This record gives sequence, structure tokens and C-alpha cells, in this order.
Amino acid sequence: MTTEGETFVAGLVAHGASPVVDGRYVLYDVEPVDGPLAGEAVPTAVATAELLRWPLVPPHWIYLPDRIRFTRTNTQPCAIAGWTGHSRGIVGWGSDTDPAAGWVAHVRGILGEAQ
Amino acid sequence: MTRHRTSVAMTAEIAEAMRQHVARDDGQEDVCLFTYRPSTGRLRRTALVTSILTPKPGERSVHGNASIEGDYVLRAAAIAHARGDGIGICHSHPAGRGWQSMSAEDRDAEVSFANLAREITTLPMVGMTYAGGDGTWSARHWDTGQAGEIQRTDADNVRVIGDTLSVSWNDAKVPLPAIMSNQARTVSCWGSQAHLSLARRHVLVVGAGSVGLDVATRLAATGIVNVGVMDFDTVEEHNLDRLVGARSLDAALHRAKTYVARRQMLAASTAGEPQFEFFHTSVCERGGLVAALDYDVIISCVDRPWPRAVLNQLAFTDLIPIIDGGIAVDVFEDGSGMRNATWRSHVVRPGRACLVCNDQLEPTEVSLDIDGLLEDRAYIAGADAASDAGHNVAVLSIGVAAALLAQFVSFNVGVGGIGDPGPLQFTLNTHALEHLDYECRPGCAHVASLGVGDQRLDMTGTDQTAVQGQKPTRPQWSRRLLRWADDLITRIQRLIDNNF
Repeated sequence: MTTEGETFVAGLVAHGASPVVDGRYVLYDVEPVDGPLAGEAVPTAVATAELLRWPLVPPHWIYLPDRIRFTRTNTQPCAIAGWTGHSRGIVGWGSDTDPAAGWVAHVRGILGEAQ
Repeated sequence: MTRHRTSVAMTAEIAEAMRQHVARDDGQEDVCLFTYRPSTGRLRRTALVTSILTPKPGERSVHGNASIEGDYVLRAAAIAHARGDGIGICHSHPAGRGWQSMSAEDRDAEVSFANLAREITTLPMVGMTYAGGDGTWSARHWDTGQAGEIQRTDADNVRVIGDTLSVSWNDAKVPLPAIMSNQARTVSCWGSQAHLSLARRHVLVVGAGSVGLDVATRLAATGIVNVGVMDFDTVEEHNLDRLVGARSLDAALHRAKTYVARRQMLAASTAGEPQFEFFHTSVCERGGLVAALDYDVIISCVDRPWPRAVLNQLAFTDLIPIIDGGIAVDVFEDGSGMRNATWRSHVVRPGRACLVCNDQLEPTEVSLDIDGLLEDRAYIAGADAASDAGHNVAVLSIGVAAALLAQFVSFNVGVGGIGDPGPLQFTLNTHALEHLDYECRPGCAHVASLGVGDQRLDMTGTDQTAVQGQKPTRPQWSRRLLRWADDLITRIQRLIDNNF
């Protein structure tokens, strides 16, 4: 986290989230404000390996339960059973004074696009 | 005892604040303490000055000379320890000119605090002297000798990074290079004083492609003694239309691009004793990064996001200015022609926008690059994303090289008293040159990490693209024979050249 994700986890905690480090992933819930999942605490995850350079470099892959689907997506397998990684770059990264808040907003926006 | 060369670097703002304190109007000497962080390269240790701790009443006295109390050192060391910093002491020689030697009194004063400073901070104390006669800075590290005694390691130089890169040189450690007869036209452009400073700067070129090879060759021709070139790649047939100086034989022999750079630079060099270094590695790898920390200025001639992100970070964390640029060629989708081409150039340093804030680097692409996905056809197809086709052409890449070198000259020489011009963009279809107005955003993480040195976030890792490029191939005997013959011919050619 800085030993793989420590700073990331601390940032989420500062925003009232309750992230859990589970092996190779940091799991945390995000509540979208629009779309079919609006108002639901959706479990999401990022790989700790992608947090080595946080916050200078944001994770690229967002891991979600398979029940959450998108019209178009580029996927990769996830070690958590029943989950899939989705390729979602975050354009304009680096302009947030609070990286954790920027990250959660990014994930919330993605969940808003779910079917 | 240290095997490293040493140096001190600071921003122009810090240097000015320190000067204002120690350079007094009444002509007396003065003294202050400062904090620093180490930046440790392969062969050089740099103390990055992070803050000045001016004395409180009663902590120092001025009496022609200046002296400080132990309480001042204790206070400074405690502050430094809490931050993970070391401490230094700076005093002035109001009428001094050039690099300052140490009187017995100066030495005794610094030595008397050196052990205390090390005990508390675990880092060697750094001493600095400001020569008021001409503004030269001098510096030394107070290291521990073999027998545990305090031992002075004089710095090679002190670097001040502002609109220009101002370097104070220790001529005893870095002798003045001879000005050669074949440098007369070069020296006449900016004068011998500027040339003797420029020629001693350690300049690293990262990327020896169409732009980097040209940049490195011209630095050598200018007479710069210490030029490094870093590239993990080998010459391939498809490079030859842009890699001016590379030959079909280089592609056939799988020559490293650094090999071609070496050949070109040694042929072009006008320095009396060139000390060129070549690194067949990536700056994204730990070894590449540590090698880069030995340089005073880095010219970034790479287009991949990851190496640019690593260099962007060094500009702030380790106060090594990066001269960066690149070209974008815009072609008609049906392949029928060129719509436009633009190239940018900029000096990345404290006081100028970082590559993220000047819209030259998307951090999200860095993660793709780290994962090797930018070259992954399956990923690109699945993402429905256009891959960077890497359009480039030799007749335009010289424009990028020229833009980078013009930034290099302005930043290092201070043309007309003006330093680097800020980010520039040249647009080919209208032939317009624009000054771009960028500054770092309030939340910029690079500005927040100014001068952290060895405490920087580790951006390195295993660069899979480089690993592929470096993969040793067992050459066939015929290729080995050809390499041997080619090396022999090159050596004979160089021998002949050196005797005329």
C-alpha cells in the first residue's frame, strides 16, 4: 500500500467508506445516483497491484459482480468468483485536490451507465 | 567516506530566500540553517534544499563574522528529523567570488555541529557558502570517514533551478574543459564563460529514436562533455526512414539504438575528452531511474506515457529539469494525405506546469502502458479505441529536435537574459508558433512532492516493453562475424578521424 493501497484505503475511509483489503483486491461499496442501480450500495473493487503508484497513476480496471452489465465493455477475468474486471480509463486525472473523491465520482459515473 | 559525487540543488525561490538572509547590506557575514532531502543516484548524491530555518533572537550573533548557538542546531535538527530531512548550514563571504575554500574557522564551526546533526537526523550535515561578490554558491557534505571521524566531501556543483539553470562549479573537482579550436564558432555564440559551464553539465537523452538520436549527436557536436543516452530498443528496418545515421547493417545486426548513438556522437563530438555513457535500459526500471538521477538536465525524447510520467515526477521530486516534447501528425483517415502536424516543447520544472497539467500526459494511459496494453491488439480492438499509429517522418522530427534544443539553449544559457519561454506549440499547416499558457492545478500532486528526493513514490517497475526489447538473442555465427568486422571498421575509422 504504498504498501499497495494504503493511501487509497485511507482516502476512501476519509470519505466515510468502509473498504476491505481482501488479498489482491480492495473492496468497497459505491452508491450511484442515477441509472438502474441508483440508491443501491454496489460492491466494487480495484486490484492492489494497480494501487502501487496511487495517486499519481489511477487504476484502470474496475471489478464488479457479474450481475452488473454494460452495453459495451472490455473485460478481463477477476480472481473473485462471480466478478469481472471492466476497462475504464479516467480521463483528466490529476485535477482533483482529493484523489479519493475523484475516484469515487469516477466509479459512480460508471455504475450509472450499467444496464 | 563516500564513493559518490555530491551536489546541492534548490529552486530559485529557495536560493533567493537564502541569499536575502545571508547577504547583508552592512557587509558582515551571516549564517542560517536549512533542511534538505537526499536524492541518491548511481554515482551522485544530491542534497535538495527544502526549507530555510532563519534564526530566532539569540540563536546567532553577527560580529563581522557570524556564529550560531547549539540550541539553534538542536531546534533545526528536531524539525528536520520530524520530516525525515537532514540539515545544513549556510554562511556568506560578502566579497567572495567563485567557489569558496574553507578557512580553519569555517571548518571548525561546521565540524562542531556535524556530529550532532547526524546523530539527530541520521543524515550528513551539508555546508554551503554564498559568495556575495559574484553570487557563486559552494557546498560540501560532512560525511563520516573510515575511522568514524568527520570528513568533508566537496560538492561538484550547486544547481539553482529557475527560469534558467544556474550552476556554480567547483573547478577543483570538475576541471574546466579545454576549449577546442573546432569549437570557435560555437563559443563565439555565447562566450567562453557560458560555454565552460554548459560543457560541464551532465545531460541525459532518454530515447534514441528519430528525435533523441539527433538531439544527442548535436549535444556532442556542441562540445558537451558528459552526455548520456538511454534506450532499451534495437534498430529495426522500419526505423531507418527516420533514424538518420542508422544503416541497414545496424538493423540486420540487431544493433542497440544506443550503439548507433555512440557511433554518431563520437564521430560528431568536439569535446577534448568526451565522457559519454550509454544505458541499454528503460527509465521505468529501477536501474534506469537511478542512473537518471546523476544528471543535471534530461531531454525526454520518448512518447510512451510511462517513461514520460517517471521523468515528469523527477522534475519535481528531484529538481532535475526535463525538456520534453513530441509530434502529432494528423492524417486523413482514408490515407490520402496529411491534415496537419503539431509539435510541442516545454521545460518541466518547478515554476512551470507538469506534463499532466499541461495536457501532455494522461495518467490513465500510464496504467495501460505499465500493463503493456497500449500495444495489445486484442485489448485495443475490445476497447474500440484508436491506437496511436505513431505517424512520424524524418523531415518533421528534426523540427521537434530543434524545438527541444532551442528550449535547452534558452534554459541553460539564458538567451538575452531570458530563460525558458514556457510551453510552445508549432502548427505546421499555418506555420504558427504559439506560447501556451499552462500552470499546475491547485491539486497537482507533483507540486506537492517538490524536493522529496528519495522519499518519492516509486513509479518504477518491470517494463515489459523494455524486457522484450532487451531480450538477448543468440546471434548466428555469421551475424557475430559481421558485428566483429563492423566494429573493427568503426574503430579504424575513429582512429583515423582522431588523428586529423
